Amino acid sequence: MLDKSIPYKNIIMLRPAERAEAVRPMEPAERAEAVRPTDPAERQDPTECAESTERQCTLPLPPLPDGFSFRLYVPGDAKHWSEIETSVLEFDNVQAAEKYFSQDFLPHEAALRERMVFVVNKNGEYVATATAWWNDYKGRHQASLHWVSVRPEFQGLGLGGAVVSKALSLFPTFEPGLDVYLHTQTWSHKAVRLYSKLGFHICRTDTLGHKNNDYVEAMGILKKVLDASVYDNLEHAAVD
Amino acid sequence: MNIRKLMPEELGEALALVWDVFSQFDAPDMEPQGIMVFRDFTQLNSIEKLVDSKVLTFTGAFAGGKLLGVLAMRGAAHISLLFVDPVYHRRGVARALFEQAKKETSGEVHRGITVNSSPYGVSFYRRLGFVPLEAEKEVNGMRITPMQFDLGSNQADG
Repeated sequence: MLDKSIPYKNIIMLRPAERAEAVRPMEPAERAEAVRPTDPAERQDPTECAESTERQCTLPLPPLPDGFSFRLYVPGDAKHWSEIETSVLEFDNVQAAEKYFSQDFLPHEAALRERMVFVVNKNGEYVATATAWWNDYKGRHQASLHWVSVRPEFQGLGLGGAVVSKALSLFPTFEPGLDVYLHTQTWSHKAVRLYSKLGFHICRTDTLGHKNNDYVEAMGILKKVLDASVYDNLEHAAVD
Repeated sequence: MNIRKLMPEELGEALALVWDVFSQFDAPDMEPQGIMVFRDFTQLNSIEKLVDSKVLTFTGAFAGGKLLGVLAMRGAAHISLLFVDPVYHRRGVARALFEQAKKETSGEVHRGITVNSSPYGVSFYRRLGFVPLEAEKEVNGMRITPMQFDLGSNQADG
């Protein structure tokens, strides 16, 4: 959920290609292992690997909690996407979200089938989404992690990390070798922490497409809302 | 002239060169805020971590054991830093560093190598073959011109 109690400032983050290549989809056997109920103590922290500085570190997709599964876009999912995005206050109403979807996503429906990920619960409800997208602006082509959202009532279950990791695992196939950018903002400071754990760095000057980069002002706001150690890590890891 | 990757223990010397050249040629065009953003970015302890985790890769140009210039690539195809000792300007040092970086960037994968140039650097990057993607803009107190060197590969698919 967006924290609209603080000023809105743009944040641009980047995940270098080296890291992007290191995410791999889980093998079927591994996946079966991952869904096996485990003692919480032996369950691996899904972000542990991403925080390592080892070059060859691979990041297995964090297991989804029991009862949840991944699903790729199929025609008709515009409604589900719009409902999720509206639930986290990205749009004022579902109609506005659907209008955006029709204009920006629908012209690329073939790509959506490969790149837009949903998490669905056992009742068939669509509860989270992320998209492994791209941005072409003034002759520059960038890979971009786009529209990451988890319905508020399903937050805190690890679905955000799972759906982002799933989307990241698609980039080496569809945008091979490219650094992955994302645009977020101070209202999503909880997500900024998650992205950082998954290998993203805040950019000081670079940007994604036409977006403004409000690094200095955004960091001033993050400093007030984040723990000092979290903030320091973000600042020290920031790139140009 | 010898072009090679910098060793971790050479980063301090490289960043000192970067700061000297930046102070002389780039800082005068910047707001105090932009100078602070650049100074924070080029702190040794932060840079060491970024190098250690392979986010940044530093290459140096040497002659007789002396460091003449430094290039830092970020990720796969973006120039983060390119600075040459002013005594050796206009002698092909930066070009040699860039040619090495170009060699290591796959044209099959990357459409271009990007840089956000300072006002001072724009004419140099033009001579290398970079073209501005946008007009100069101010970002966090820095005046930058986003530029790209076309590697002449994949066409836009979207």
